[in-house]
Amino acid sequence: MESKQKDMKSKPKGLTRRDFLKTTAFVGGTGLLATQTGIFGKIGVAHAATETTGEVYELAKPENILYTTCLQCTVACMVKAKIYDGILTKIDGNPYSATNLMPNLPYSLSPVDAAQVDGKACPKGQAGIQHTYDPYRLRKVLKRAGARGSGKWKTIPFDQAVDEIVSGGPLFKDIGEERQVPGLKDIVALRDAKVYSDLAADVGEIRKKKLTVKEFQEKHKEHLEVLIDPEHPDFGPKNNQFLFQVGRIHNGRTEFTKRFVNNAMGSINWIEKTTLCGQTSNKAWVRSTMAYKDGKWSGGVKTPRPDWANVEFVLVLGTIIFEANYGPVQESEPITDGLVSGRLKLAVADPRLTKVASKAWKWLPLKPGTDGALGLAIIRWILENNRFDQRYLENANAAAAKADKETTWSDASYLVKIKDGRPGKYLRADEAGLGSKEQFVVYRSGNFVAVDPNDAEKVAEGDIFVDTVLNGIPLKSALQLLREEAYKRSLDEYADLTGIKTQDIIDVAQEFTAHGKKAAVEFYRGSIKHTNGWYNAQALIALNYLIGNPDWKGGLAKPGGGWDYIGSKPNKPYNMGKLHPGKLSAFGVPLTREGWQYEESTLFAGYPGKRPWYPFSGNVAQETWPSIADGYPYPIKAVLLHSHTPMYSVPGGVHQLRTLLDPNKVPLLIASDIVIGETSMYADYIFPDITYLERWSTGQMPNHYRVKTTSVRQPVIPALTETVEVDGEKLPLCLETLMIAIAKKLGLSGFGANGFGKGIPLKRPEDYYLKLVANIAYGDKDGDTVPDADDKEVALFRDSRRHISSETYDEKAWQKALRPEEWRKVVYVLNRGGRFESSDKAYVGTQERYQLGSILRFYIEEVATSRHSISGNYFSGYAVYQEIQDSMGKKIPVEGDLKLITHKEVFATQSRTISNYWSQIGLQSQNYVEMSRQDAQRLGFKNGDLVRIKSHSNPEGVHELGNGHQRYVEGTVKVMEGILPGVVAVSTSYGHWAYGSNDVIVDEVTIHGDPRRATGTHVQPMFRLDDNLRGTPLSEPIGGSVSFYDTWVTVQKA
Amino acid sequence: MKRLYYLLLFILTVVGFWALGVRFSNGMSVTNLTSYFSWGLWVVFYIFFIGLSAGSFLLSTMIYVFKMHALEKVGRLSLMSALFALIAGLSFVLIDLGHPERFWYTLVHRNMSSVLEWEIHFYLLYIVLVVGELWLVMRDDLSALAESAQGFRSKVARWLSLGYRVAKEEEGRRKQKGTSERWVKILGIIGIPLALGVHGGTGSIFAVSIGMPYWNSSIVPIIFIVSALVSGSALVTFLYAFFGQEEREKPEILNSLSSMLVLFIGIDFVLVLAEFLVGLYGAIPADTESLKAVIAGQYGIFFWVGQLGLATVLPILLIARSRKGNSARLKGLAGLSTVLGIIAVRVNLVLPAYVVPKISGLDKAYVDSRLVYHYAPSAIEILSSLGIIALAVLLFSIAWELLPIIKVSEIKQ
Amino acid sequence: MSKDTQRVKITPLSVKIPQDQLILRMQRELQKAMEKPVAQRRWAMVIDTRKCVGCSSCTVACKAENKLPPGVVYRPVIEEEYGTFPHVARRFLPRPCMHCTNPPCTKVCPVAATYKRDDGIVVIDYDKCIGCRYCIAACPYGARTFDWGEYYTDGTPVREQYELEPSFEYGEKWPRQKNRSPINNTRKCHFCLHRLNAGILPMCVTTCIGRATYFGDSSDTQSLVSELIGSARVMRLKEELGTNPNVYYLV
Ligand SMILES: Nc1nc2c(c(=O)[nH]1)N[C@H]1C(S)=C(S)[C@@H](COP(=O)(O)OP(=O)(O)OC[C@H]3O[C@@H](n4cnc5c(=O)[nH]c(N)nc54)[C@H](O)[C@@H]3O)O[C@H]1N2
Ligand SMILES: Nc1nc2c(c(=O)[nH]1)N[C@H]1C(S)=C(S)[C@@H](COP(=O)(O)OP(=O)(O)OC[C@H]3O[C@@H](n4cnc5c(=O)[nH]c(N)nc54)[C@H](O)[C@@H]3O)O[C@H]1N2
Ligand code: SF4
Ligand code: SF4
Ligand code: SF4
Ligand code: SF4
Ligand code: SF4
Ligand SMILES: [Mo]
Repeated sequence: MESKQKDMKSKPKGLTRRDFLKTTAFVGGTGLLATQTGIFGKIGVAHAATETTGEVYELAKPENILYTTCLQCTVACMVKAKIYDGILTKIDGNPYSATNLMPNLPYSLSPVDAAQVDGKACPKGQAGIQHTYDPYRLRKVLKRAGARGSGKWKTIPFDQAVDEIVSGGPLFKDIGEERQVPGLKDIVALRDAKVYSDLAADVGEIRKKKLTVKEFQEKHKEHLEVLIDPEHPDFGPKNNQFLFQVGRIHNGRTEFTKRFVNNAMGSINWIEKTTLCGQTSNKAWVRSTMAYKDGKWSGGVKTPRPDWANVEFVLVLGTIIFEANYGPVQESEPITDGLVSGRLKLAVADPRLTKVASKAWKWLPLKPGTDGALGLAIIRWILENNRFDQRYLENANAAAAKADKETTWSDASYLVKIKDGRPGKYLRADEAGLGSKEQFVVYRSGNFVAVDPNDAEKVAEGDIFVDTVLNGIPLKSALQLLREEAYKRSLDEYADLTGIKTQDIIDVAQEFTAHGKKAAVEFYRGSIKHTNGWYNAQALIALNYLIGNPDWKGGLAKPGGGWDYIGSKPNKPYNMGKLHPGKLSAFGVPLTREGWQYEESTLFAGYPGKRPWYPFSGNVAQETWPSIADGYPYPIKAVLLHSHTPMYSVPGGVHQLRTLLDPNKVPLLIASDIVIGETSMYADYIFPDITYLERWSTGQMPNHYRVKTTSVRQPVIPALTETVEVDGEKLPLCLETLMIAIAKKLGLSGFGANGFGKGIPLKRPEDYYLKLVANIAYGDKDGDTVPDADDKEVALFRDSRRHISSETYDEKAWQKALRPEEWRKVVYVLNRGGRFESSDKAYVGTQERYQLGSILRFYIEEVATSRHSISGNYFSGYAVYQEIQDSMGKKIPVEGDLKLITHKEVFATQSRTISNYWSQIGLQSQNYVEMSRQDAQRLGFKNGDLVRIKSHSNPEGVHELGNGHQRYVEGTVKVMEGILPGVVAVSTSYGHWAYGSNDVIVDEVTIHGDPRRATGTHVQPMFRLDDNLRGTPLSEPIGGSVSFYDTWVTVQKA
Repeated sequence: MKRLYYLLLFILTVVGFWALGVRFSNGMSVTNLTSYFSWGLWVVFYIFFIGLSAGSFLLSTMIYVFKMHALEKVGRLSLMSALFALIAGLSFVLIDLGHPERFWYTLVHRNMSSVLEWEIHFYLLYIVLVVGELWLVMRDDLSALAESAQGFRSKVARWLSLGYRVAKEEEGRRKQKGTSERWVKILGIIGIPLALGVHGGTGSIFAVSIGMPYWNSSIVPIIFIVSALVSGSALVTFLYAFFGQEEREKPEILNSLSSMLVLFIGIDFVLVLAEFLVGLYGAIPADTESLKAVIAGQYGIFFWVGQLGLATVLPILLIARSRKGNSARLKGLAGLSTVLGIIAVRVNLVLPAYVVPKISGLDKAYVDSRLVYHYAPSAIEILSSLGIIALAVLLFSIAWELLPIIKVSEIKQ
Repeated sequence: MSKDTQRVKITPLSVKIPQDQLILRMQRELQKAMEKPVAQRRWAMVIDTRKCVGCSSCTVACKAENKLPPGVVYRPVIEEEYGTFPHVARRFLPRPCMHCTNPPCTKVCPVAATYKRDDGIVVIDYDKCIGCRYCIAACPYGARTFDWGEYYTDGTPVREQYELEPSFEYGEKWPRQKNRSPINNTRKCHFCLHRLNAGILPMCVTTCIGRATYFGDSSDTQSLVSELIGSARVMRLKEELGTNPNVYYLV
C-alpha cells in the first residue's frame, strides 16, 4: 500500500503546473492575467493581497478549467471540471448552459471571462470526482480464473484478450473447462453488405406476408447457411447472435457502438436498458404526439414537460422532481421561484411525501398503480363540468388551430370505427365516401367532414362528443370514447380505488382548470412502471390536451432540442451514417422481439405466444436474459455487456443468474465496466472502460429546457486505464478501443485506416467524436456556424489540457481527425463544452419557440388494433383504468401485508454512486425499509428493527449470488408519517454485493472490499414475476416497462 | 512486593509511552473522539487530576494558613500530591491537543476572553507556587538530608535544597523557621484563590460554554471546587492511612481528615442534587437528555456505582464503621473509594454533555464515524492514560522514598 | 380546496427578486463590496427554507471545494418531519456557520486562533490553532468539526491522490500531509473567503439548485441580502442565545 501511495503521488504525465508556469512566464505569461479582469470588469482580487497572505484562487483560473458533461445520472448536466496539479479536484455547473445557470452566459463570452462564474450541480454531480477516482477502478483486462462469479480473476494483456474473444477455442482450459468457446469470428457469418440488404428486403416481404419462407429459401439458397435458422429467415443472420446489452449510453457513444454492432458486426441486437427507465412514458408521449405523414404515424416527441418557468399549476404524479426526474438541477429553480413568488401551485400524487410533495399545496398519497384512475376521475370532473377547452378540442386540422392562434390540435373529434363492439381504426374519408384514404372524418353540425390533419388552409372543426352510425358502421369520436371510459365510475368509486378523497380530486380538478393554458400534468416512473402504465400515461397526457396547454408559455412545452451532431442534415461536414463503406444494415427479429408484431413473424403459432412481443417498444431490457434462457426466438452466442447491471437493476433480475452462469446458454460473456460490478462479476472477461470524465460523447438534450442545447463530453483528465496499442495507435483502454481492436482483428467495415472512406481513418476515438463536434460547430442551417477560436482561445485550449497525456490528448492527432478549417471552430465548441442557445430565446410572445406543432392524439389507432401476444387480448387505443395483471390478463391478487415501492435518492444514482463517499455514503450510510407508523404499530416494528422481506415470487426472501452464496433480503425499519399506510418503500442504490463492496482475488492476491459499500437493502429479488414467463418481472405490454410498484410483500422480524 | 509494585508501574509507563508515541506520530485519529463528541477520556483525567491537585493543595493551605496543627503531618503530603497530580493533569491537556507542539502558543497568543487561556496561566503560576511552598516546608529536612544521607539520596537532597543550609545556631534556626512559616503562609494565602481559580476555573471552562446546556450552569464551577476538595482530602486520607508512618497522632489526624472528607462529600452531594433537580425541572431538552443519560442511560453506571456508590455512600459507611475500631485501614479505603469514585464524577461531568445533537436532526444530516454522539475510549487513549498515571505514581513514589515527605526534622535528632 | 391537506401556505416574497438575474446580481454586489475596505463589509447569508429542496448539493459542494476529510462537514442539511399522516411536512435546514456577531466560539479559544474578522467572517488560523477543541464545545450550532487526519479511501486498495490535493481555504494552499495543519485542527465554514477574495460567491451559493441561498454585503442597503433580511419572514437560529448570527433564514 505504501508504495502504491507513492506511485499515486508522482506527478501525472504531461506538463505540470509548475512547468506550465515556467513556459508561460517565458513566452510572456498569457492566460495568467486572465483572472484579473472578468466579465464584470475589475474584480476584487486586488484586495486579496491586503487581507490574506493568499495566492490567487487556482480553481478560478481559466487554464485550470475544462467543460464537459456529467453522467452521474442520466440527465447529463453540463459541467465545469476544475483541475489542479493534474488532478480533477472540483466539478461545478457549466455557466454557458441554461440547464446549469439560468439565464446562461452568452455563448460568445470568452472562457477566460466565464471562469469566474460557477453554475449549479447536484450532489451527485459534485461527487463525480469520487466516481472516477475510485480505488476499485479497473485498469487492466480481467479474465476469470475460476467459475463464473467465483470472484477469482487474472489480469491478461489486452491483445491476448482481444485475440481470445475473437478466435474462441478452449479458452478456459487452464481452469479445467474443456468447452470450446465460440469466438466473435464465428458469429460474424455474413459480411457482404449487398447480400445483407437483399436478405433484409426479402425478410421484409415475409413479414408483410408477401413472400413465403419456401420462396425465400429458394431465392437465397446459397446464403441459407449464414442464417440462424433457414426455417425462420426472419431471425436474420447468425450475426444476430451477438448481443450488445447496454445501460446508460449517451448520444455519440450510442452511434459509435451502433456503428460497431449494427453496421460492422451486423447484429440487430443493440439493446439498451430503457424499459427499466422512463420508457412507457416516453413511448406514450411519442405515440400521442406523432404526426401523420404519407398515410403513416411517425415522429413524435418523447418528453413534453411543463414550462416550469411560467406555469401556474402542476399536478405531479409519480416523479420526484427535486430528487430524480430529468432532473433536479434544471427543474428546481423555476419551481422554487414560482412557489415562493406565489406564481406556482403544486399538487403531488405519490404514495410517499417526496421532497416536492412536502412543498405542495396538496399531497395526494394515492395507492400505487391507480394513477390512471385518478387521471380518469379528473377527466370525468372536467368533462362533466365543462372545464375543458372546447374551442381547442374542436380544431381538427392545422388551419383550424391557426385560426385560433393555436399551434397544435387534436383528434378529439376524429371518428373511430367500432367493430365487434370494440373501437378499431379511425374512419378514413374514403370509407365514408368523402375523400381519400389519407384523410380522416369528423362530424360537424350534422355533417360528416373529411379532414386532412395537416391542412393549413381549410379550417376543419368537429364535434367532440359523437356517437353515431355511418353506412352501418358504428362511430364514436375519440373524446367520446374517453368520456365513456371516464364515466364508467363515479368520483366516489375513483376515490375508493385511489385512496384519494373525492373532495381532493375535485379540488385538484378545479385548480387544474383554473389557470387557462398555464397548467400542466407532469408524471414519470411512479405512474408508468406498472402493468397498466401505458393507460395511466395516456390518461395523464389527455389531461394536458383537455386544457389545450401544448406550446403555450406556462403550458406543456417541448424541449429545446439541440444541434444535429450526426450530420444527417444538409451542409454538415460529416454525415456519419453515410461515412461507412461496406456498412451492413442489420435486420431480423431482435432478441427481445421489439418493433415486431407477433403475428408478422414466422414464429406465430396462436396465443399464448411463448414469450411476449413488443411491437410498440424497443430496448426491452428485462426480456434479454429470459429470452436467452428460452432460446426464443433464437439462442445467443456472445454477449457484450456495457455500463449496465441487470443483476442489480432489473426487478427480479437475479432470477436470471442461472442463465448468466450457464455456458450453454451464454457461451461467451464479455463485460465492459469501470469496476467489477454486480453483473460484470459473472463475466468471462472484463474490459476496463473509462468513466464519463475521461471520455467523449455528445451528451443528451435537456428535457426541461426550452432552448437549443448540445453538450459535448470530452476527456478532462488522462484515462486511468492502461494504455494499449491498436493498429499502431497508442490508446487508453476503453469501450471504443475494444471495438476498434475487434474490428481490426476481424477486418470489419467502418473502422481502421479507411473506416470513414478511403484515407479517412477511424483508428482513435477522437477520429469519430471530433467529427461530431464539427457537425455541431457547423450548425443546422446556413450562417449557423460558430466563430473560429482566436489565438488566445487556441492557446487556452492547449494550456487547459496540459495535464492530459498523449494517448488521450495529442493535438496533432486531434487535428488530423478534422479538416484544417474546422479546427478552430471545434476548439471554440470544446472550450465551452458544447453549444448553447441563450435562454432568452425560449419564447415567442406568449408561446414556446420550439413547438410540438402537430396533431395530438387521445386515441392511438395502431395500438387499438394490436393484440397482446400472450393473452391474445386487444389493447385499448385510449386511456382506460386497468387493474394490475400479468401477461395472461390475470389480476394480481393481494399477496401480502404491504405493497412494495421503490424510489431514488437525490444523492444517489442507480448502482453507480456507491463509491461516492462525500455524497451517497456521507449523506445516508444505508437505505431503509420505510413504512408508516400505522403499519409499524400493526406489525410490531419500531425504528431500527431488522426485518426480512418475503414475496410471492420469492417466498423465502433469498437473494442468490451464485456459487452457493446467498443472502436474505433484509433491512432496517424506518417509521415515518410521510408514507401511505399499506405501502413499504425501499430506495435503490444500496445493498451492493460487488462494486468494491466485496473481496475479490486478482492474480492470486485478495483485494479487500470496503464494508461502507455493502450497507443497506437491495430489494430487487423481491419483485413480482410473471407466472407465465419463467423469471421475467411483470411488465407493461405496450411501452414495455418493467413493473416496479406492483409487488405485495410480507415483512417480518429478521 | 515493592519490586512488583515498581515493576508494574514501570511496565504501565513503558506501554503508556508506546501508546503516546503512536498518538504523537498519528495525531488525533488514534482516539475514538468525534467531531461531535470532542472531549473524552483525556479531558476526564485532566479535570480529575486538576481537581485532585487543587483539592490536595487547598487541604495544605488549610493546614499551613489556618494552622490546623492537627494536620500538619500531612501538609507536605498534600503539597506533594498536589504537585504530581498537577503534572499528570497538565500532561493530559498536552496530549489532548491536536497540535501539542504548539502548546506554548497559549503563552504567546493571548485571548483574554478565554477561560482556558486564563487557566493555563493559572496552572503555571500554580506550579510555581506549589513547588515554592514545598521547598519552603521541606528545606530544613532537605538540608539535613544533604548532610546526613548517603550517596544518591544526599545528592538529590543537596541539589533540591538549592544550597540552603539550616543555620547552625538556634537563633538562626528560629529566624529561618519564621521566614519559612511566613512565606508558606503568604504563598498559601495567594494559593487559596489560585487553587480555587485553578479548579473553579477549570469548572468554568465548562460552565461558560453556552453551546453545552449540561455544563452551562453557574453551579458547575462550585461543584468543581467542592469535588476537588473531596478528591484531595480523600487522596491524602488514603495515602496517609496506608503509607504514613506509624506515629502517635496518626489516629487523630486520620479522624480529622475523614471528618473533613465526609463534610466535603456532604456538601458535594447537596450541590449535585441541586444541579439535577434544577436541570430536570428546567427541562431544557439538551440538558434533560444529558441528565437522563446520567441517571438512567449509558452513564448510569458511573452515576450509581461511581458517583453515588464509591464516592458518596461507601466512604461514609466505611468512615462510620472505622470510628468504632478506630481503623486506619477502613478510613484509607474510604479515601481510595472516593478517589476512584471521583473519576466517575469527572466522567459524568464531561461526557454526558455530548449525548444530544446541538440542533435536533444534526446527527442524521451527515453521517460519518467521526460525526456521532457516542464515544468509548480507544485502546491508545486508555493505555496512554494508564501510562501517564503510572508515571505520576512512579515519580510520586520515588519522591516519597527519596524526600522527607512525612518525617519532620526527625532525621537530625 | 379542502383545508385539511393545505399544509404549506404560499405567500409571495415580500421583495421582488429579479429571478433571472439572481446569481449574477449577487456576484456583482459581492464584487462591489470587495472594493470597500474590509471593515465596511458585512457579509451575510440568507437561506430561504421555502426554496430549499433538501438536495444537500451545498453540503457536498462545500466538501469538495474545501477538501473536507471524513468527520469534517461545514454545511449539513438537517431534515425533519412534522405532523401525522396525512398532514405531514418535511423541512430542510442547511446549517453553515452562523458567523455570529457575538460568537461564543472565538471567546473561548486559548490562543486567539479563531476570531471574527472586521467583515464579520469568523475564521480559524490553522497555523495558530492548537487543536484543543474548546471552540467545538462552545459553538451552540454544532458548526465546528475537527480534522482527524483521515481519508475516505483509506482501507481501500489505494489512498487516492485527490484527497491529498491542497485545499485553498483562506487563500492559501493547505496540502494534506501527516499531522500538518489543517490536520488536527478544528475547521469550520468560512463563507468561502478564498472565493470572495476572487470575486466569486461562496460554493454553496453557486451550486444551490433550489436557488435558496443568498449571499452578500448586508451593509450595502442596495444589496439583495439587505432586501431579504428586511423581510417579515426572517428568523435566525437560537436567537435567544444572543449570538446574533449573520446567517438568516426565510421561513
Ligand atoms: N437522484 C437521481 N436522479 C436521477 C436518477 C437517479 O438514479 N438518481 N436516475 C435518472 C433516471 S435513469 C430516471 S429514469 C429518472 C427517474 O425519475 P423519477 O421517475 O422521478 O424517479 P423514481 O425514483 O423512479 O420515482 C418514482 C416515484 O414514484 C412513486 N411511486 C411509486 N409508485 C407509484 C404509483 O403507483 N403512483 C404514483 N403516482 N407514484 C408512485 C415513488 O414513491 C417515487 O417517489 O431519474 C433520473 N434522475
Ligand atoms: N429498486 C430500483 N431499481 C431500479 C430503479 C429504481 O428506482 N429502484 N431505477 C431503474 C432505472 S430508472 C434505471 S435507468 C436502471 C439503471 O440500471 P443500470 O443501467 O443497470 O444502472 P447504472 O447504475 O447506471 O450502471 C450499471 C453499471 O455500469 C457500470 N458503469 C458505470 N459507469 C460506467 C462507465 O463509464 N463505463 C462502463 N463500461 N461501465 C460503467 C457500473 O458497473 C454500474 O454498476 O435501474 C433501474 N432499477
Ligand atoms: S442532475 Fe445528474 S447530470 Fe446533473 S449534475 Fe446531477 S448527477 Fe450530474
Ligand atoms: S456558529 Fe458557531 S462557529 Fe460559527 S460563529 Fe457562531 S459560535 Fe462560532
Ligand atoms: S481548537 Fe483551535 S480554534 Fe478552537 S479553541 Fe482550540 S485553538 Fe482555538
Ligand atoms: S460558505 Fe463556503 S465554506 Fe461555508 S458552507 Fe458554504 S461552501 Fe462551505
Ligand atoms: S443546495 Fe440549496 S436547495 Fe439544496 S440543500 Fe442546499 S440550500 Fe437546499
Ligand atoms: Mo432510468
